[in-house]
Amino acid sequence: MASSTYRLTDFIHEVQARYIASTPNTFWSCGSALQQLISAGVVQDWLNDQLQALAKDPHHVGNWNAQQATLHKEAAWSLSVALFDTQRRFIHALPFQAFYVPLKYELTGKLFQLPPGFRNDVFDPSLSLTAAGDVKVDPLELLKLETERYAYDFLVPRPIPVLRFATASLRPLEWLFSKTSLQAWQANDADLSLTQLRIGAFVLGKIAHQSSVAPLRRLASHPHHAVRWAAIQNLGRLSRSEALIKIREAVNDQHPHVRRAAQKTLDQLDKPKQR
Amino acid sequence: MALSIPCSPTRAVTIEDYLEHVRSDVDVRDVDSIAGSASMLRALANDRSLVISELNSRIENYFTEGALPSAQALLLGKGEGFYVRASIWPAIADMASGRAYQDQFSYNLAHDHNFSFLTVNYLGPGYETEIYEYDPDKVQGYVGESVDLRFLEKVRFGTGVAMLYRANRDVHVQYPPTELTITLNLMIADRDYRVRDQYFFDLASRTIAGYPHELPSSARTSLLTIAGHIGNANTVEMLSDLAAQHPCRRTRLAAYEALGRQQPDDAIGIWERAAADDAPLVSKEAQKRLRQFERA
Repeated sequence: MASSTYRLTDFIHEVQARYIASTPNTFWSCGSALQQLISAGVVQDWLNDQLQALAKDPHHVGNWNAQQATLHKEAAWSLSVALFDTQRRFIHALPFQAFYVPLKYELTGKLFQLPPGFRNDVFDPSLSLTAAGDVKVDPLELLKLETERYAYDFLVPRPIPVLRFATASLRPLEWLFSKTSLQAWQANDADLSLTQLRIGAFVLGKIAHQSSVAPLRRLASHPHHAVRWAAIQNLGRLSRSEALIKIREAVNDQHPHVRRAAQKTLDQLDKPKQR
Repeated sequence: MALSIPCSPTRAVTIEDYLEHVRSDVDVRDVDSIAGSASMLRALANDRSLVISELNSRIENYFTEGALPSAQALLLGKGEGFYVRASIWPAIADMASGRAYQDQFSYNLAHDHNFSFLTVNYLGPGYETEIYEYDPDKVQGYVGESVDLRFLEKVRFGTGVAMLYRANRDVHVQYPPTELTITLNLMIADRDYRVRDQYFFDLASRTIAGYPHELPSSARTSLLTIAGHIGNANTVEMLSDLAAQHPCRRTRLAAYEALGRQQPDDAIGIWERAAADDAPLVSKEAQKRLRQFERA
């Protein structure tokens, strides 16, 4: 069904050669490959292949869900088509870099500067965004989402199909800001696996079987601060001595929230002795 | 039929024993045969190391594989047309305190399933659930449709009992347990479940409230909507085939929608074809569209 010489596999190979995940800025060098992919009609060809597979086998399940259809995904990046059909309730500061390409209608929205001193991994509800103008991209043009500096609020006057070429999460949290006050509202784990790990730590703590000490100890060294703290808290249900070692280490943790929680816990543990 | 099946065997079986039992003794297309497996599933729940060793190894594997698909649904094994999993249900207090997240769990939402499953309690006090039933043959499947939901029972699903939920017949509302609860489920996953629907229900108005996002039909609908917006000349033929032949009525309706978007000049003819569809979900929407054309 392919109607062009440039294929999806050509794009994949080119991105694999150009994008080095440890150097996020190399992602931007893939823009020309993305432009070539769009010009060659690869997205439409891929879509037709999916429809053909579905027509041939009504039970066929592709890599699509209710939010997007994924053309390709690997650990460091993904390429998908999403239908923007609902205005988002909050302004999201995204944890990944991306090119967005509106495939049929223009994509417009507001641009916001992230606050001075913004540190993605330390949620601070006192921080707020600053309006930084408008953003407008014509159909088939590339929008470079510079998410380390800006948050975007896209308008959805009609359903807008958008090609999303994005890195995997580069930062641990996705912050949400109020649209009215522009203040930070909450931050979610950038990656669902991180939430799953916290739930896993919580369940192991609840079941409290000694065989779980080793996995909880490993989780206590996880790069994500909330996973580390969940592991330490739940380790306390299995082994007080192990947990105390980790809490004392956590007083010097690189993350201020972990340091504060660890110190508070130690202070509480010391209280009965002071009486 | 009874949805609660009393059973309290004292023996324990391993997951391998249970998988072999289902493979050789259970007809997964027959709900009575699935119900007959209740005692063995209960015996599997007597293996007290089953879930903890699985979760421990999942977390250890995370450090080598870099991903943890889910910590609240653990796949324990599978066979042709079925799989066995453990489901983890956090307590109401853990939801309230933010230690677990409401949106990760389908609490307080009345819903059916497009597959049958048998479930037993493994750990904790069990959850409370209200069960209703409806006749899927009398449902057209559109949001806002009135559904005759018949209340069956409200049960605290604890030890000594297995529960059987029948595909597209039993509706349940699950409430968070008072303490962390883990269940074991025999899930029936024949190919046909991919073309069957599943609904959220509004119990106050006794109507269909929506479709779960994770349904295969929701994914197909989304793909077809995208095709309607950005497809090319080659897309039309496949949309026509899907509109005429796909066994899922939501998929056929989405294909007609996409066709209408791709070929606006032929929209009346497209909706006239849709008006002849056997499913009222499709034909009624088509008649509505045709009336709009008449008024325009």
